[in-house]
Amino acid sequence: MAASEDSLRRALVEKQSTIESQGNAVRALKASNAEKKAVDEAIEKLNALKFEKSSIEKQLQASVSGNPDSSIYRGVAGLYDYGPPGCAVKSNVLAFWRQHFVLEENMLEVDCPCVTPEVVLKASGHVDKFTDLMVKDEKTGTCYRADHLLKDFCNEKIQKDLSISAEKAAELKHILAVLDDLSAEELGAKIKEYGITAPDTKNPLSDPYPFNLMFQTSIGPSGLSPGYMRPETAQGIFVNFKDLYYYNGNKLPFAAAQIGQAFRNEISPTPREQQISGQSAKKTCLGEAVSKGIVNNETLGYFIGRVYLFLTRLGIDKDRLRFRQHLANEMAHYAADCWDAEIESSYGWIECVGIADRSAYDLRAHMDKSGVPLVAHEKFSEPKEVEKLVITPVKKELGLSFKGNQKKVVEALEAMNEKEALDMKSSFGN
Amino acid sequence: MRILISLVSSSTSTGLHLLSVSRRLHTKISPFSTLIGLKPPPAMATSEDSLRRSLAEKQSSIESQGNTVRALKAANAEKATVDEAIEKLNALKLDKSVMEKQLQAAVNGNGPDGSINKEAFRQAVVNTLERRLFYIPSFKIYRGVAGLYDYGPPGCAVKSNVLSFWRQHFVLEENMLEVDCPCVTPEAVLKASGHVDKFTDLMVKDEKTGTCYRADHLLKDFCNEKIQKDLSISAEKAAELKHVLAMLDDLSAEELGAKIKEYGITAPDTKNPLSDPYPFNLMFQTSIGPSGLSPGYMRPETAQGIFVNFKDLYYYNGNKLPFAAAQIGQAFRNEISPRQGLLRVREFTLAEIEHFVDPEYKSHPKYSEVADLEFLMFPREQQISAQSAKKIQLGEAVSKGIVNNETLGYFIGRVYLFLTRLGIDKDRLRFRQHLAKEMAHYAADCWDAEIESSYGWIECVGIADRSAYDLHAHTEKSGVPLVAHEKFSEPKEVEKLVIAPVKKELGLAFKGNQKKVVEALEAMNEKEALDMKASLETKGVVEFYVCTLGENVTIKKNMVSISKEKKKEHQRTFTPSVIEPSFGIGRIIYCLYEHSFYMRPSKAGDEQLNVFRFPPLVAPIKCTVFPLVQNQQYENVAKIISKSLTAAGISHKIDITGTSIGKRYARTDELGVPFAITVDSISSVTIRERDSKDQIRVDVEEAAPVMKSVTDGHRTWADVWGSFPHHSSGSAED
Repeated sequence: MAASEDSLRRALVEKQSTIESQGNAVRALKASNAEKKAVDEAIEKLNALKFEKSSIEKQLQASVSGNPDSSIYRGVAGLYDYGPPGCAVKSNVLAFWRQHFVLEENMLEVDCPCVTPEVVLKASGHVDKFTDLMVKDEKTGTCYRADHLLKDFCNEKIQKDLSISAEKAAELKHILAVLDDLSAEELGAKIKEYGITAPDTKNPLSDPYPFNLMFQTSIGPSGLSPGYMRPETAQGIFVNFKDLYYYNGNKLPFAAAQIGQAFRNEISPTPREQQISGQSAKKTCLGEAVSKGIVNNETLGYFIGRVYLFLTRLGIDKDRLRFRQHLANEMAHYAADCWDAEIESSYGWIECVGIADRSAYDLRAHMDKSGVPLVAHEKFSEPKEVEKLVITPVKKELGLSFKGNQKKVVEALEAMNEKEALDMKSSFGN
Repeated sequence: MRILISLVSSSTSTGLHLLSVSRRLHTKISPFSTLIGLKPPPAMATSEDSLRRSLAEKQSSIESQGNTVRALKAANAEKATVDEAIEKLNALKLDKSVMEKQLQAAVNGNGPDGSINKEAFRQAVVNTLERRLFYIPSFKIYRGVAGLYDYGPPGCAVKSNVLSFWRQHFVLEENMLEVDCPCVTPEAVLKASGHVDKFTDLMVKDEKTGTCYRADHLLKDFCNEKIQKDLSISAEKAAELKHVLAMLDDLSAEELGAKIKEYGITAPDTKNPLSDPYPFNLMFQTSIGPSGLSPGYMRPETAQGIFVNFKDLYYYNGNKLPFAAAQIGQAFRNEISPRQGLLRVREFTLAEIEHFVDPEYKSHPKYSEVADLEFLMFPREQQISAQSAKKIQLGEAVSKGIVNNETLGYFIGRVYLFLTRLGIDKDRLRFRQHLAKEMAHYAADCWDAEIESSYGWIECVGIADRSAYDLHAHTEKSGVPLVAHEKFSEPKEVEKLVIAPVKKELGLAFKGNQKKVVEALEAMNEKEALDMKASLETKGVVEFYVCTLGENVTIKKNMVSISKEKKKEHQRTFTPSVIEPSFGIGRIIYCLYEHSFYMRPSKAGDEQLNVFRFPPLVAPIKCTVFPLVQNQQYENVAKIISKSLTAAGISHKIDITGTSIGKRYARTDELGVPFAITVDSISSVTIRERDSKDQIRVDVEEAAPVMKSVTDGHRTWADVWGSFPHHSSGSAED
């Protein structure tokens, strides 16, 4: 918004000076008693310029009245305020969400801070992987998302350049389809190959490099505790699992819920459209999808259904709402199944709700990092007999043999896995 | 525990030791601006003072008596004489120890173990809160981050109830324009508001380890420690330390540094020397976008988001004043070393109102609705003369000019109603006026709603008449006029200065410089213009300095006409004043927890049970449903009731565990659940009220409607108590 407003303003200034010089030209012609025809032509041109100016003014007006945040300071791209009716709509949607999910299912609602210490987001993988690939205008330093530039280039070519060959068109379409899977190197190579330059200046671009999308800050005055504004609210729930499980009487299943702000330091904010081509979505009965195994399990299916009810009761057109399963390459390796509720808007199909079976990944990650077991227990109604490996170092003998090293030897013996232990046992037998 | 509570509430103010906030802010900043320490009541001070003096005297008598004894012994005096002297010495020592005890009691403020009781009370509340997950230290499994807390399920429900009541009581009631702005704020906005330059605390560093401390905290701790623990200091020294405590918020970096040096204060953890104090900005800084060239901050308050939207909101309101905008949202403050648990945190929820009003008409149409309220007020006068807060009728405070204007008074009254309806004890709530030196120079009047807790009097709501300061600041920085207009019903005639440069003559005389000369002429103020007019009339020419040219030019009489003309004006343009009530939601909730908490013995009398006496409005869960014993029929009835409660939108909990009913009551009392429905037959059930433990009997179908009416506030417990048969629990409770 800020960028377009800025360029509109520039265009308006230019137009104004053209109008002035054309005005001078008309006056000069009149003063020199030029031919009527020449004068009329010049006046016509002047009027055309004035008309163009008024249209730029209208665009500028429209761009300014969108209420972007801090608009009196010309706004910040990607930040918006909700005005009174917007605020009321948001508060109604949230109240209905709470009613429809939290109260209905007796979920445990929590409210965690936005400021998050690095260790938490290191464990979750955000510090290392929550990035987008960026290129810089090598002269001005302006930053762009590498995939956006490539996408724009391809779309532009396909839509505007009628001279390209069918093969070329197919190649560009293929690139659009695999855009999300391109590595930094591949993206860089394509940008070089197509000679893509910075859109505003036509300057050459740097190679793509990852930019972390979290807003970074520092907790406390020391400068030694990096923190981030959370990119999602989920981590606050995972780190509290132990307390929540206890609060729920150490019983599973239970759900925890959180409503709150999240942050993403976009490189150049623009709405993202899904680039999925091929067959279109079709109406399916949820129960059938679950029983046929299209949806991985009942609980996932239950939430897909509840989300459908939530969105349609809000007033989302059910014919412009679809549940799209993630492709295998979209999903993290640990995820069992993921579905997005996508809503069709003027920007295309927009991902609005993600419903994922993330398996045990998150709890495991925090358990590894924190050393606190985030586990649940199932009590057996009667004890079960199981075979268990028991390694019992005989400390007396070990002490005599290894003296000061005894402890380390004992630890190493106890740390053996089943195969190692049984191999050792059989070696003794011989 | 009731005794305990009354002890706490009758204690003297310890405001002094608490909350010293960021005082550097002589521009506004934070709803929680300075809380100036309150001087202890004179009686107390005197007795403490005289005790210190007599203690010092006693000490010197002991020393001289000791010398006497030694002298007698050295001189081999008679045993009887020596014994007598020793006896006298022992008597003196006994006197001294009695005095020490008295002094210790005096400095502790309220009896020998007042402060211990306060601590114990707080510990009991906090333990219960943490055990029942009202809150959780954030990121606990990673050993937490100071000053960050999570709200667990009941805490989250309380917060959401408080916020929805706030929205009901303020936003809906007054038709306020609610907005929702981002936390990430670009630097320009906070530069204009003064936060970038002035939102700081003074910090000192351990010179070896680099650990940071708040300079004023260290000095405060040192003084308190000396006064309370070191009984040997002289009365003069004690007075000096107390003076330092009272002045703490007004000390400059240099003065603080000098005191730290003078008293030899070192780093508390390592005893290493400390650096000089230097300002540390309390905003969390970040960078917007990837360039690294757009600094941004996490907002320290929500108000700025409203100010920058003034123009649009004014337009939205049909270009009419007064109107109010409101915002609920997160705010951030990167504390140097957070203390005081839930009261001083790095991230908190603020609810702020900006009421825009014509500075010439600060009356309020609904003022009469609150004018009769009477509550504890603590005006400037009383604070200066070391009196305590007293009950004043709001209308009287406004008409006597103690409260600056009606609109400010109206909001004070509304805040009083808001807090007391939540369950804040009205005897432990006071409205304290800012002292002149606490207020920013532009502010017309400021009052803080302070709630007494185990930490002392805590500032929970700030209500300030900030005049036109904020809109002015943003007008200047942004160049966008943030003003309002008053249309006159009929045009007013005003005399206006008219400066009309004669462009033709000026063009001939100054050619390319004409434009600059014209601008300079038009920019003259009234006096300059009239002076020029007079000179031109007498001399015909005048030398005129054009700053854009950097030189004098000669203006002739025919180049400009200056006159005063009568003009008709259709409207007046002005910058509105803003009256800002600003609520620290987390602080209000914490104080509410303390005010709601009490302990009572179990029926068997063998243990103390915790109860939160939340009003239904605030209670995280409105009622529980228990089958009296494990039994399929009762369970079915419980499920039917649960369903109708859900349909009525009443949050409740169903507990079908076989635990004894008494234990189940105790568990839910500890969560502050006001009502319990117990299924003890298939046709009717009992409803128990938490605090009285009284029970009524209602038909199964009536259970949900009765619950609805008492939790909505349409009926009170007394109403239903009067209209249903009573049930005496007998042995059911245990």
